[in-house]
Amino acid sequence: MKKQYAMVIDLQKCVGCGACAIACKSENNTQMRQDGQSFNWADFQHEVKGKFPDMTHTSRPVLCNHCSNAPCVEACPVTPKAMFKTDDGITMHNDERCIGCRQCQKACPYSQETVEIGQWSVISFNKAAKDTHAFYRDPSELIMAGTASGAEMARRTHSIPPYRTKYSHPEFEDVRRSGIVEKCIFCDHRVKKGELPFCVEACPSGARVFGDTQDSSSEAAKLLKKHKAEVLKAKAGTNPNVYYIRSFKVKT
Amino acid sequence: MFNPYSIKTDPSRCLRHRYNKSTCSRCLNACDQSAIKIDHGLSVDERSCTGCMLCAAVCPTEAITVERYNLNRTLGELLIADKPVLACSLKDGLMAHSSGPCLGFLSPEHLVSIPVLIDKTLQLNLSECSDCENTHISEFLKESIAEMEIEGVVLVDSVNELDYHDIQTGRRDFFRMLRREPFQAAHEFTSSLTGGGTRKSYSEKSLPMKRRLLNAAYRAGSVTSKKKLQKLYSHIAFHKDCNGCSACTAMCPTGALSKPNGKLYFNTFSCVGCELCEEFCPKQSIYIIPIKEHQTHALEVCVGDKNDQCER
Repeated sequence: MKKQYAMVIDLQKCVGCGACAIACKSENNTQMRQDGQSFNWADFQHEVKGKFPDMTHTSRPVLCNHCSNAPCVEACPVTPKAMFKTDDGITMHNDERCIGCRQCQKACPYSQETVEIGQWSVISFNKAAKDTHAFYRDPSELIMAGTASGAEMARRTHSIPPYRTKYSHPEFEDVRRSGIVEKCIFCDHRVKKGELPFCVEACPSGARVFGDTQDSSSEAAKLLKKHKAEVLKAKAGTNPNVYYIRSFKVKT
Repeated sequence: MFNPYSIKTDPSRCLRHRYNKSTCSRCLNACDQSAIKIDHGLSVDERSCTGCMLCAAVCPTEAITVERYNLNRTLGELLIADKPVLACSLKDGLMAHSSGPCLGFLSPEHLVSIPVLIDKTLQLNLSECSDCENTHISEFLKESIAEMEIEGVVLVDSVNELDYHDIQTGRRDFFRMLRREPFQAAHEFTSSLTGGGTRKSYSEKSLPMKRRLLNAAYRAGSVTSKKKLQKLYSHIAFHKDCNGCSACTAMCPTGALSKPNGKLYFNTFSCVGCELCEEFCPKQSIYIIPIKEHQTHALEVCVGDKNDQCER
């Protein structure tokens, strides 16, 4: 049977510490928020509802849902598709074939073309005709004669960005170039080596469980069997593969 | 028959590969052997291909090009001749100052630009074409010349009509050639080994060689020749529905459309008129219009403007 990688996130274990988001940024060398793009492959959705004292605050870790019925794949205009599904059920992005038309970003129900504060987006776009990681190319200091500049940090560490994790994968580069989109690829470069996605590895409370849902002996499949799982925007009909279990709202 | 020139394909430039709903079938229509396959990557069936190179001539973006052929070298060879003659190298003993692949590779851009650039009338030696399996290319060349009203190119069907004078080579020139030729050959050989440069990514913008040739001819040409060359340029207009999403700038294979600082810009010199933007635009608000004047236009997107096109 074909694999279907999925992530199960236990909301009662998640404390919203943000370790996954930081781990992702350092593993995948994503940029800082700029030009209306978040570049957060692992991000958070914060929701405040109601009026004091009768109110709720929810923090939910979010990432690409690797939908089984992915609208981004459908929207990709190039041949062969730059956004496609792998045999493992990962929604994969090919850097070489991407032309940067952002049709995937438009089609994805979990993405925004321009991310406002408080919003999140699965797919981010590296602006064309502008070097990525602009901060680490800028020689101006944040505080004149007080701090190092981004360019100096890059020079001292011999890499852009300074926190660069080098890896190689046939489909995507460790640092993306300008004019193309980028998104979470379930750390396929790690998964291929038998390792877990880095956000799962980094989670201190074990809230994130990664595995093959088609394999009934996997932890992820067991959790999905045991708990009632919910997905984001189920009505969109995209059949996401990122599941949330044990929400505080749902009685288990 | 040995043909040293093969066809090189680059799917990243192919309109059908850049946009899966594109209806471009220029190369398919040009090939009478049905040797071109575009279903699983862009490829040419070498067994049925006769090397007429018409596909390379009609492809606006140079997704199909002639491998191991250096047009600059041809231009140099034609430049030093008084009455330059160009022929193919597929038949032995053709009188010519320069020879290359089957002359079917000569697109209207080539035919218009080369006489302007060498500033002489170019003769194409087609004397052996009637016996060749690629005999249909002479018809194609005639059509291009008639359509573009090209005066600087003469098609010569028989050897008797050919005005050919061999270039007199002095002792000095001979030794100069001895020095130059091995370098040239070594350069061409090494570049063929590396596949003539690295493969392009889809998002990379590149201007086809024939368009660069046309631009060079346009800049060098006189007022009358400029008017003729203008026919090969296109201009675009935006409908009021345009919301400035700039997806067209990504789709454009040459970088004629760009959005450097929040405004859409269109550069006529970089536009090859492939009409891919018109086909692709999610709002259907781009259309190609005849060229009026030649300059780099800065087109502001007019949302809610009463005029249905704007050129500012």
